[in-house]
Amino acid sequence: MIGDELQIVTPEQVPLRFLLASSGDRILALLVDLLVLAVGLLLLLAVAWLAGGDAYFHAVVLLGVFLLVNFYFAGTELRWQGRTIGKRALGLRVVARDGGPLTAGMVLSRNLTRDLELYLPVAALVAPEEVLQSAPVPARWLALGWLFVIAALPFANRQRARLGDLVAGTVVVATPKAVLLDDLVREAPPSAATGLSFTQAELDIYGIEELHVLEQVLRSHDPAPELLADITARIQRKIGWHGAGRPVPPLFFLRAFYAAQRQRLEHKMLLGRRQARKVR
Amino acid sequence: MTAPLALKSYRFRAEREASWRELEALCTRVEERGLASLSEDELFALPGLYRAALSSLSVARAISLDQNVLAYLEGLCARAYVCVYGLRRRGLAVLSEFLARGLPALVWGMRKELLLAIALLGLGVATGLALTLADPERFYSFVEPGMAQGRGPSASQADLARVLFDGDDTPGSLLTLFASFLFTHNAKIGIVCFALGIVAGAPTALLVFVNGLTFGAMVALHAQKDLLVEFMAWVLGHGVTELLAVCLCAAAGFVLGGSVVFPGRHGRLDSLALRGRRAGAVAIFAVGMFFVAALLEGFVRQLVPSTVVRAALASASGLLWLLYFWSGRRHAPGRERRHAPGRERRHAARGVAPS
Repeated sequence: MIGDELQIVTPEQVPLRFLLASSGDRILALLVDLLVLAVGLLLLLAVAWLAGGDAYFHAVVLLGVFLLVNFYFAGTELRWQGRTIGKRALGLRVVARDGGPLTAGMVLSRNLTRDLELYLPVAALVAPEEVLQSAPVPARWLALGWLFVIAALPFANRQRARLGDLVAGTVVVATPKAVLLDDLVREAPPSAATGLSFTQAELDIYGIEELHVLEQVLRSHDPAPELLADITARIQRKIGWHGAGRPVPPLFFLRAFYAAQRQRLEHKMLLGRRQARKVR
Repeated sequence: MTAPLALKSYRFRAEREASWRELEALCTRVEERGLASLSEDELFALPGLYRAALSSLSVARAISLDQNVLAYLEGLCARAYVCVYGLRRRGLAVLSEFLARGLPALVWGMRKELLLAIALLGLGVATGLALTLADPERFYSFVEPGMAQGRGPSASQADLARVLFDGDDTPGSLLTLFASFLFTHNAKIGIVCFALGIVAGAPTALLVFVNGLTFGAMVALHAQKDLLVEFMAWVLGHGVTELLAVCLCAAAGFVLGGSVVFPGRHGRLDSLALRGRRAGAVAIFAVGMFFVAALLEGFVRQLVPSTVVRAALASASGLLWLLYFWSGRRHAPGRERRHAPGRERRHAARGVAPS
């Protein structure tokens, strides 16, 4: 695992990289969920209020409140493949840490500890007397500290796992969103038409890192002409391009160079020589 | 030299792009509207397209230097992976299968923890009983006033008997309210009992023991007023189910604690993850048992004033639970737990023999 990434080996033995959900996103998702929960509870209470003194109704409402508070998260995660309403809104989801399928057991386990992680610490902050009751003072501080440690657990480990995640062996990841753009090579002018060509020696200077930087520049939205001209001049100087005297439009040159350079580097990679950076 | 077709990575992409796009469209629909929104043909195509994309990713990592293609394939495979291996199990068939076989097997697998929980409860009951018999005033330190409902050493035998036999003048609707209150209260305790297990099981043990103390004190109170049999029949009609549920939650908690303290051949985290899932399922089942217990308490007990019928109910429920959990012996996962089940399971999912 590197930084904010998590590598999961699929059952097909292909390693996939997931982006870990950021703490901010997870807190926001939690807030959205709590908002939904609060609205649901208010609706239930409104129903109870409208029902007046009917005890049957009150019993149903009491049950409803219990189910909503304790099984809202598990229920929505079961319903939407590891996504509560808040997680859906922020593009997060729960996956199994070992790469296997997410099971109902995992979803239930990771949400059973919420009481301890969320409701209890909040209750202890808002109304300490209710939670700790008649415990002696040192025990109170101990209990409070312990609750705090559990609540702060996600900030203290690399996978940002809360207690429930540890118990169930799950991780919350960001749902990846990547768009497939056109291949830059496709837009490159054919060498025969332009007369732009590069010798093998000229293409042996730069490595993969520089190629990727060039790709980023070419893919960036509307690059500045001065920047393109500057890069063109630098590349021509660096590789000692044999056609340097001719005036070539920078974008034109860069596309042709990108195509030629990528072809050369990919060829070398196939032969087992992965050139990571420029030689000098 | 720069003709596009000369680039292997370009040709590679041109050949496969259509199938990537198809998979992407399927994933988008599954994410928005669920697997049910796919037609039968699309559902069949999904795993094949997913594997094709995975193989494209592997090849692209080896031959392509186009960052955009790599990032796109990584993302696409991750999304498709979640669609294919995400949670799909649902429906009554899965539930009944779990209740018929999975759950008894899980409980059988944690029978040691369950026995430990029962022993702790028994210890609590014995302590509460002995201490309250020795000094009736101790009843007040073991039983909270809210739970005692006016019962105590100062109450007369007639008062106590009235609580045991006069339940039937409550209107039915209030019984429902009472039952759902009991359920939510007990289930809450059960869930906390489970969650607290993570700290080496110590708070769970304490909670079970304290519950036992309360119960023991109540038993002692009634024993002193010659109402022992009546009280036991009254409380155990639903109490067998309820106490068993408490013990199951505690056992699940002990499993969590045990996996942290004695992780065995796995790392602590893996061991916790492996056993945590099973323990969680058991705790959820215990919540269901609390529901059954509350129904028994709210209705049957209040409507049936006969001690004999209550005693029969207590024995029958105890016997039924015992037989149910005993049936798990046949499909017990107990052995598997000691033989790196994570690896076995992964191999099973892939459909190849471990090498």
